[in-house]
Amino acid sequence: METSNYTVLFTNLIIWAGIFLFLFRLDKKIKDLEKMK
Amino acid sequence: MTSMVRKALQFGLFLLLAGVIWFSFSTPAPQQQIGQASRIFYYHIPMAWLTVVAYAVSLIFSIKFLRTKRELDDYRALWAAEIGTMFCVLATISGSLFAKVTWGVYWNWSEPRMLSIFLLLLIYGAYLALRAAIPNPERRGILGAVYSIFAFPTVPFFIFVMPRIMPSLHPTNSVVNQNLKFTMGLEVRLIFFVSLFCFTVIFFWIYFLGVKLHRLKLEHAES
Amino acid sequence: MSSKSSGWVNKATAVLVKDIRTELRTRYSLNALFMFAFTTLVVVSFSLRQAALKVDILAALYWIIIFFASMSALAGVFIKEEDTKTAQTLKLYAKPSVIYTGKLVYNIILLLLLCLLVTPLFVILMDVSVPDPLPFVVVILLGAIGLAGATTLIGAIVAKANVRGALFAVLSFPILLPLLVAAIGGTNAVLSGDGWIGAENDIKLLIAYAVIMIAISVVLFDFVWNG
Repeated sequence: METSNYTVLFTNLIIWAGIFLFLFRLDKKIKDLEKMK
Repeated sequence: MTSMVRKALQFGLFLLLAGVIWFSFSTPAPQQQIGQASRIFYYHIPMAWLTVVAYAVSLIFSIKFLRTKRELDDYRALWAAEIGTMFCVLATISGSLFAKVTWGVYWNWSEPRMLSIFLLLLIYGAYLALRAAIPNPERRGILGAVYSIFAFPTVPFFIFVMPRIMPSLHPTNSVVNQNLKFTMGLEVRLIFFVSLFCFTVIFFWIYFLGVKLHRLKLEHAES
Repeated sequence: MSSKSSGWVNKATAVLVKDIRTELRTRYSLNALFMFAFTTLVVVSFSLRQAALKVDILAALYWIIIFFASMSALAGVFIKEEDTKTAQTLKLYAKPSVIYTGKLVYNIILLLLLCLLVTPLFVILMDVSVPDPLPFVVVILLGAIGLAGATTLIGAIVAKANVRGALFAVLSFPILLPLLVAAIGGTNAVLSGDGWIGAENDIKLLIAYAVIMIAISVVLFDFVWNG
């Protein structure tokens, strides 16, 4: 696999990890809010 | 669904997507003639697919809102449209970049698929612009819903009818047709469908999160 | 004579006649429409006087002129009602679909008048050779009807909003795209000498478009009018 492939690959992984972390925490927050009701 | 199961599923989704990303770059390029750029196929098509799915969801709730007049239904239509707009922008940009790499131009009106995604972009944009211009919330929902429904018939017109009508002086960049019909090896097919699956789940995840949040806001406002 | 259907037609006609009378008094929309189209035509004709224009360019130019002229004036039909506060009275007068029909026919007439004026001027100023006039006229006719059909509902939507003019164009354009493609394609085919056969697909599309758009408008108009 070429170097440029690796670069794009890891950039993607990092970005998506970030997105997932955000969604994950948001999800948790909303679940907590729902429970509080 | 217990929170443990939920967390496990979400993590599982991430693993799946990570797998897609990994293999989309490590395996041989799906379309040999175009080379490396064809890898975008794993991402661009799911995004385009999702803008249509989002429109469908928005449309369904637009119709529902016209009947129930409940604010939550209007919000569902709006939220789906907002997510759809995001995917549409991404799909348009990724498609344009692909076009540049493959055919040397960022845009080509003769390519029916470009026209279709552009049309969707226009509809989404018009919908949001319309909503922004109406101060009264109920009217906003109603007029937005009406426009959404009214604009819908043009979509199948473009996806199915246009390719036949388009002036054939300028040949459709036939590689794209090949792209969709090209004999997808098992590997390619697997990565593609898993990618499609992952993005669809992500869409609905974001969608339901937004709806839940809005519902909580509504209930909080009432109490 | 008191059967439901004749009352329906009478009321729609009454709406239409009222709009025509009002318009003839002030001629605001008519002026806007014609002046815009005429000016654009003259600008185009003058700017391109040296160019040897191919048929496909001429076809496109024609519909660009018609499209932009429409954008400048077609929403007027409902905006008028809002501005003069006659909307409320009108709502009491008849069912929404009847009102819609009256307004639709008004827009169609307006647009047909526009085409009646612009087309001969266009042919003359742009030095267009029309091999077979009949399909040419039919394509323009269908295009105009489709245009009115699609934009009447949007005009009603925009009348209740804030930033009308620009919004009308923004909302109309995506919905009009299939019409424009078919109308330009059909005009192109007809002017190239391909006649009925060359324009067949486009004509079918124009008819389908007009029928579908008007049918949906009739259903949706109720919500816009009585929202």
